[in-house]
Amino acid sequence: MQLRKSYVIIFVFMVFYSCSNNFDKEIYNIVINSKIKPLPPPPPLSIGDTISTISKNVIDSLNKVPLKIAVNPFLLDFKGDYIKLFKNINDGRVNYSTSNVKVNKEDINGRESLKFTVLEEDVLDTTTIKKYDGILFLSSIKYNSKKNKALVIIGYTTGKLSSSTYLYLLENNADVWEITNIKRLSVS
Amino acid sequence: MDEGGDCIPENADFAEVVAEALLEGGEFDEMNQVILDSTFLQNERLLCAYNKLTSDNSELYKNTIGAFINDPEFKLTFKVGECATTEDQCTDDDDPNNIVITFEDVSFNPVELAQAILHESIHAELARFVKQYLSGVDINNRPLLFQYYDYYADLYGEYSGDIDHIYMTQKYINPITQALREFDNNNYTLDYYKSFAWDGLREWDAANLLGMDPLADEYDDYRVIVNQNTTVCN
Repeated sequence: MQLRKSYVIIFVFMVFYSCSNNFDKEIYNIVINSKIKPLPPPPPLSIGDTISTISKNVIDSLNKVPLKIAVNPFLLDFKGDYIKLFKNINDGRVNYSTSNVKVNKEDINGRESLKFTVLEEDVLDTTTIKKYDGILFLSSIKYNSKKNKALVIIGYTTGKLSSSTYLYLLENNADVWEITNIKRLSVS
Repeated sequence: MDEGGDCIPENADFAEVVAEALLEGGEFDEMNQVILDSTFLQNERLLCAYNKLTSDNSELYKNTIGAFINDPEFKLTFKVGECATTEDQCTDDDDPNNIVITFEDVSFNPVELAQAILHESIHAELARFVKQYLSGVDINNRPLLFQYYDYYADLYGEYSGDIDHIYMTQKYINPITQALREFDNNNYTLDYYKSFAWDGLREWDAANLLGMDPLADEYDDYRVIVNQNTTVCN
């Protein structure tokens, strides 16, 4: 009886632990797939009154382009009051910086065409950058108290003077996480 | 008026930011309505490059940093510090009314520093421009920019900095090249400064402009010559 009780406790703990981690993994998957794209397709040849957009077929084919992504080993972290951002991510400046917390390698994932290498050191020299198509930066994920909203910062650098960083707000509706807002934080 | 007798703009928020910068050893560039943080002022070569661009007063300079003239609604600060996701320069424009350009790597050649100042200032001015446009100000004199924002939105997101880069390959290569030539006291022909102008934009050359340029390889050779011989801020 005592043994069965222990098994139940362990089982419940494992389910809880795996669920909380699955949120991180799922959210990273969504924002990474959103942010990391291959080189741009050519712009429209003529500029007229009609607004053209890139077709879904083109986007689908671009998403199949293989990319080698290095992941910066240290997470970014929010500084100061981020709670207000759950209501409105445009509410003032977003403070963040690099933390000492290491990226959990198992959480890093994206579409099949992306191959990730988590770097051992926080090194962004030219030699490192040239080995990869881009360097990925991620923050820890912040959840609201109900765990149905999440904030995450993602940065992507492809070379000198070529990087951008965004804040994503996601919401969980019917067990599906979806991006509901994106804010540009920085560009270089 | 501050202690040094300089006028502080009427806008209260801006005045506060300026006063804070002055108290911390920074400098308010009255003519250009930008704040030079004390960390920026302490870097001799960076400050020299900024001052040379100011005195050249090129068309590009007037249309970027100069766009902040007499517009206290938009603040532009230059400083030296850390960028979270790059080790060179970054423009924090999440609050377009208070844009901060940070230089992390200041070891570049002076011409490269000047290019970095101009490149980041273009981002700053585009962020200011978009904010004005979204606020309802009728400033739609850049139809191509908004066409690009619409065209690439599904790929890179709305008003993405990546789209700025694509736009810059189309509209800013020649102005940057011209400004850098002036910066270098017109030492060489324009082709010698093209390679610098493409920094940060090569990967966003969607129209393959550089790829189709028969002189592309020569630009890189010219760059070495410029870096070896420039005397400005060196």
